[in-house]
Amino acid sequence: MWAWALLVPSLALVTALIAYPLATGISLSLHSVVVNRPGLGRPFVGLENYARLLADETVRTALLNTVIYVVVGVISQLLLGLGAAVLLNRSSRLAWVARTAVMLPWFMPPVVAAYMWAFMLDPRYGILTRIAGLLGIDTGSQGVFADPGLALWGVLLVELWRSYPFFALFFLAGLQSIPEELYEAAALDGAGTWHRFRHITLPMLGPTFVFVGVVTMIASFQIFSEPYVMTQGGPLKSTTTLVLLMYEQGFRWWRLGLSAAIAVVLFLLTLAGTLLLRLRRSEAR
Amino acid sequence: MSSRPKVLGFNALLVVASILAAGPLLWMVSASLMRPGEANSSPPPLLPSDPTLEHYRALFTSLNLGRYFLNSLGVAVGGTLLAVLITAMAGYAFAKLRFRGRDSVFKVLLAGMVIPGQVAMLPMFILLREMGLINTLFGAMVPVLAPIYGIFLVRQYALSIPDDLLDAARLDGASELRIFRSVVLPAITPVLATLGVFTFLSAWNDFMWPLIVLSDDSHYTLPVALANLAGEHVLDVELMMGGAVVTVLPVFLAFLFLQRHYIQGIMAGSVKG
Repeated sequence: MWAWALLVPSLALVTALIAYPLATGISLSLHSVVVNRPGLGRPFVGLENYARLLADETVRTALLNTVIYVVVGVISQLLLGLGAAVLLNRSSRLAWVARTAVMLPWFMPPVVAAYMWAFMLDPRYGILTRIAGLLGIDTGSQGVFADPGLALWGVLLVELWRSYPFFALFFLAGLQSIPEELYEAAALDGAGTWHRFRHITLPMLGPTFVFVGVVTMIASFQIFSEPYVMTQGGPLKSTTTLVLLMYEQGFRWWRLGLSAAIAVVLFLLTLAGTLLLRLRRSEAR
Repeated sequence: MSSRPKVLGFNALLVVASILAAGPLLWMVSASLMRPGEANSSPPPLLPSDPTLEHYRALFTSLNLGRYFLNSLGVAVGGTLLAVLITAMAGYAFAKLRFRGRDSVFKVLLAGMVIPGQVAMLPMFILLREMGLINTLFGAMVPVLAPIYGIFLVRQYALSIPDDLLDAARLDGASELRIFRSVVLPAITPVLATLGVFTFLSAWNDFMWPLIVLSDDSHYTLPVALANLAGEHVLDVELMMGGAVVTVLPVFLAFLFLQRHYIQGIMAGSVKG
């Protein structure tokens, strides 16, 4: 009895805020619902919304962009995070200061990071444009976020800057939980630095990889603030994502059925990605 | 063991990493103290020639940032307290209490972790509108109130509470409520602190949901207010950066105060995962 009393609040909230909306969302995606045209009713249309998505070029672009955000985002954050964790995993005073500094961006609201970077990369006045110029790097007269070929990578760079500390933080915790004796024993056996990294550090970090990978992947599928603020999905839809489209269709044009269908596609993609990562983990064991 | 040049190399990399992380933040603060238009002069200066607080004055008087600050605080603190409380209850129940269906309920719950928040947004919006919760601070809190991951984290941590301790308290005649309050809560405080920081952070930093659910500008949270401010003032870099500093400050303070806590919590709670 007591156990259920403890559980009721969270189970009720999870049902109301996750399970019920998911079910309604799937149902919405099979209906045609346009809020500002109530005369049309809400007829059941089967998979028509999904067919419309498939036929829409913008959706295909958004899908591709989302996949790039996720794949490039997760891999780059993982590599940089691992490198930073190894670098930060020492006991000097400098390392302690650096640990604090490196974690800061992750705490920033994405909106703030987005404006900050947009100003710093401004093609005419941006401080970074200026520094890049001094270093002989040409960022083009229209700037990173107005160039359809560069904008996506600009957004990814901002995302990388803000998010890799999350990997670093967890890898650092993982590194510190590896018993020192393992390294000492390996060193006695004559194992070099790379060998110890490859055969002790990486396997010991395995569970952390999967956990942080899944969390970051789910977050990358949902990337919204940065493109919304910096590019509004442009130029030429080059930075738009499924979530951005879902927002526009649902909350700007009130095409609820179509918006719900995009959300379901996003859900299925996330599910597939999670299963894939989990599968790889059990294979690796 | 390591040779001297190697240590120097590592230290140089540490310095570079710190500059890359903190440099933009320092520029943000610096720009917010510049005279109007100064950040847009050519070449752009690194430091204000004549520091001024006028943008902060404007933000807190004519632009109402104080109000948005309080809204953000209400959403983040309220959401965090509620989330931490219900998470502590559920996490403890799943870890330490024996009841029928425990493991299957827990499994179903964990499966819900892969559902991205955005999938729920549209139906949640419709639901909240029917309940009259649109344009309320409670409505803006909603995303942090279904903390499946938090329940998982607390459960992992609570598993380490010795059963003997709980049984001894029961033998002494302590009520279950008393046990929860005086034995369980103190034992899981570190993980609750971790969770609290992360929840506060995600509520404070959230943009998309408040953007959807708060249409009336007196209810805006800071990120939404900042985006709204950009609509008119996007060219006023100094003013925008002042707003950005105000938006960032509380999360940075939370971070600095609780740094030791949450790192411990992460190490204890999730590495086992």
